[in-house]
Amino acid sequence: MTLVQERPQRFEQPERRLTEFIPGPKYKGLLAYLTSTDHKQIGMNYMVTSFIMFLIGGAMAILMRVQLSVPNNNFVSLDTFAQLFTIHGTIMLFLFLGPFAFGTANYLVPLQIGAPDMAFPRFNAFSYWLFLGGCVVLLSSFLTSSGAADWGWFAYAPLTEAIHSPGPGADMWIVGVALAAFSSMFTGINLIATVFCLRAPGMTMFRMPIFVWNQLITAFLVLLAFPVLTSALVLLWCDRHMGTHFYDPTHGGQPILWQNLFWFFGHPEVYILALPFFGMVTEVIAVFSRKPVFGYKGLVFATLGIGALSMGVWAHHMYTTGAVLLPFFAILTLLISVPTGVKFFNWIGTMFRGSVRLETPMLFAIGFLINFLLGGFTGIMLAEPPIDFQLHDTYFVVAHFHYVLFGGSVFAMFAGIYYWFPKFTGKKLDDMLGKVSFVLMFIGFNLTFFPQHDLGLRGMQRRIAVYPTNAGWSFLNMLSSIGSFILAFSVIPFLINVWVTLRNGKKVGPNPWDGMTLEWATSSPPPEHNFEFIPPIRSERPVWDLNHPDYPTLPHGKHAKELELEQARALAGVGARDSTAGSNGGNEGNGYAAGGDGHGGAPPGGDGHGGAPPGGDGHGGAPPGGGGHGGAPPGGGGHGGNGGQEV
Amino acid sequence: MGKREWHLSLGAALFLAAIGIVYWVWSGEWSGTIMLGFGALAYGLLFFFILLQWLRRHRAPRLEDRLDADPGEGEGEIGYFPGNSLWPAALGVGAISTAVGLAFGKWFWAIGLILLFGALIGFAHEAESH
Repeated sequence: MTLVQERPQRFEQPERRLTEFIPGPKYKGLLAYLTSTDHKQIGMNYMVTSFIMFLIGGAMAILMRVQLSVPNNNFVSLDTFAQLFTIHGTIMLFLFLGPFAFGTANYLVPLQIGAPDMAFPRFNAFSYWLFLGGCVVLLSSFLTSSGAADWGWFAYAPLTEAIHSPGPGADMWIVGVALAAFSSMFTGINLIATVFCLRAPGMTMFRMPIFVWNQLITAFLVLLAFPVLTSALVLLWCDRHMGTHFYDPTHGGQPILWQNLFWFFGHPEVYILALPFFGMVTEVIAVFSRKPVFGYKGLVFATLGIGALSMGVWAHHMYTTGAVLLPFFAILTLLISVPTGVKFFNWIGTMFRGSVRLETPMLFAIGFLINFLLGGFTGIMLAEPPIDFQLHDTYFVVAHFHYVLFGGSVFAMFAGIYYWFPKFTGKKLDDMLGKVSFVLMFIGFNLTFFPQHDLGLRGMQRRIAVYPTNAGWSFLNMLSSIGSFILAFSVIPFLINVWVTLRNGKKVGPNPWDGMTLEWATSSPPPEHNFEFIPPIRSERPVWDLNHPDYPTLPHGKHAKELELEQARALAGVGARDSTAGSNGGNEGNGYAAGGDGHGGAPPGGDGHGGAPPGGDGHGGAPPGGGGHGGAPPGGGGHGGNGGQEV
Repeated sequence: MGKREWHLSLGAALFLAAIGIVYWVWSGEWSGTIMLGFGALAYGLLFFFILLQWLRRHRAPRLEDRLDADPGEGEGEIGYFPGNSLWPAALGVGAISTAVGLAFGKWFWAIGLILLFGALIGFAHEAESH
């Protein structure tokens, strides 16, 4: 393992000062939790709360799998089963994945762009409390006499009308979801303001880490999607309490209006739940391949494309209603596969010829690639109306979205947790336990959800609680239930790992993975207002540039063109191998890391001075400070001793 | 805010407007057209706001828009970052109680609205005192 602990000396420039910093009273324990406006504390609150919701929602899933494991089962009543799948879906979509993504956004986006905090710290705290309120309200609906809502997570009208679903449990669903929705909107606003207005000097939009880009695009989608949901919920509430008939067909209302409104929110929501996790995976893959992100701009534009297209595909959830324009939605949905394919290409390109370290975060990232690919393929299938007419509301669809949201997002989430845990706590999670957890989770996940494709093809509808013996579904259901137990069990090594590491783990320093982005420049966990110093930002990986001054600074997309022919020859020969300390040398193979092409991130006309020290002495003097350095050593010969900063 | 920022918002607005028009002409369906249209307007609002900010600075790039800016140049006031505050939590409890009043008895509104307004005043006062 390469540890970069020694940091080159500080820069001569004065630090970025915070004049408007009101320390406020210092609290500990509960009061600190209640009053904190620090983005790191709030981010952690989000992550812990939503992870608890994940465990609760997962427990509900296990209850459902027990019920479905054998035909004609009576483990839970039909009514309870309906409540379970409703609240399971609601929790996982509104109260776990989205808020977890916002938790990481809260914690990491200010760190990655060099900001002291989120743009509106108190507003940020307020959105967390709304989210927590949503969790409490939704869960406590189980305690009402009528039980929780039982209309499925997308709450189709007219089942949601007061006459069909009376009782406060149903209203609490509406309120809980609305609170979570407001929380998401506020966080989205906060994120956009933070990214647009609080970046560090030199951190241009096209130098932001991919994770920040993805969170920004997610926030844009949030701004579009969640207001539609809340207005739909307001109309629903009016239907139930004020005597209006927006969705009530018996009085001329339109149930299809709910579907339009809900899915206009619901499809961007799917990308809100996926894009942040794509960002995490991108960071993990780049760091553990020791290469810059391949095709940075391509990846950004692919994400923009996905985000844009996702706004125009809502009705592909409604093909079978017969009330939608099939070709429009089929075309736009199929188009999404293009930018998604570009992303896959970039992820694989990032790994290609890098020196891949198969540590736990990278394993989860690779697991993500495999699972998400399968989920993506079934998504393309379901985008075609003829197939969707056959498979709508079957277990095939269930398998599809679990492959996307669990196999994709949750695997990526674990990759992110393992990767950033040292930043959050200063301690590294145990690799062995992590690998055990990964293997169990990968096997359990695929065993649970792969058979469900076949179940769907055999005609098993989603949301049924019992099925007859002669349907031919028994074996696959049993297989799926066994898988779900393995899947549930796989979380236990992770929890043990967190517990043991927090108690006994040893400190690993600010940058244990040899990370590339700004959050690794500060201590772990970061101090209040984040940075004691910020390295100069000359590319999308400033910390790497700081720690590896003999590597050329790479502005994306230009390196190949700007390399002199001789340098290209030289690095083909000389730069091929570097024996120093193993991992650091592994980067040469990718063609542009070797040698100094010296074009740096220097802007046109920048006073490029030969800031980079000769590669021979590695950590040399101050890393390039002033306006754009130009002078990495020529040729590939400069690699000899970059072990200088390796410990 | 810089030009990339308004490019982004303008792109989102134009895309929504474009598919909104296509959708309207092709399907003639109202709810989707309205949502796409208002989505375009919302992003358009963001675009105009950012554009105005950008024009007001005479299109000069900020430090974070310049490729060659150094961290040291950013010395000085960044913004107002308040320390610990109880008001967001109080505001949250007020908002949640008010919302719960929508599902349960209206008496929740009494608690909720009192808390909400109290916290709003406290919140504003805190910023004011700064």
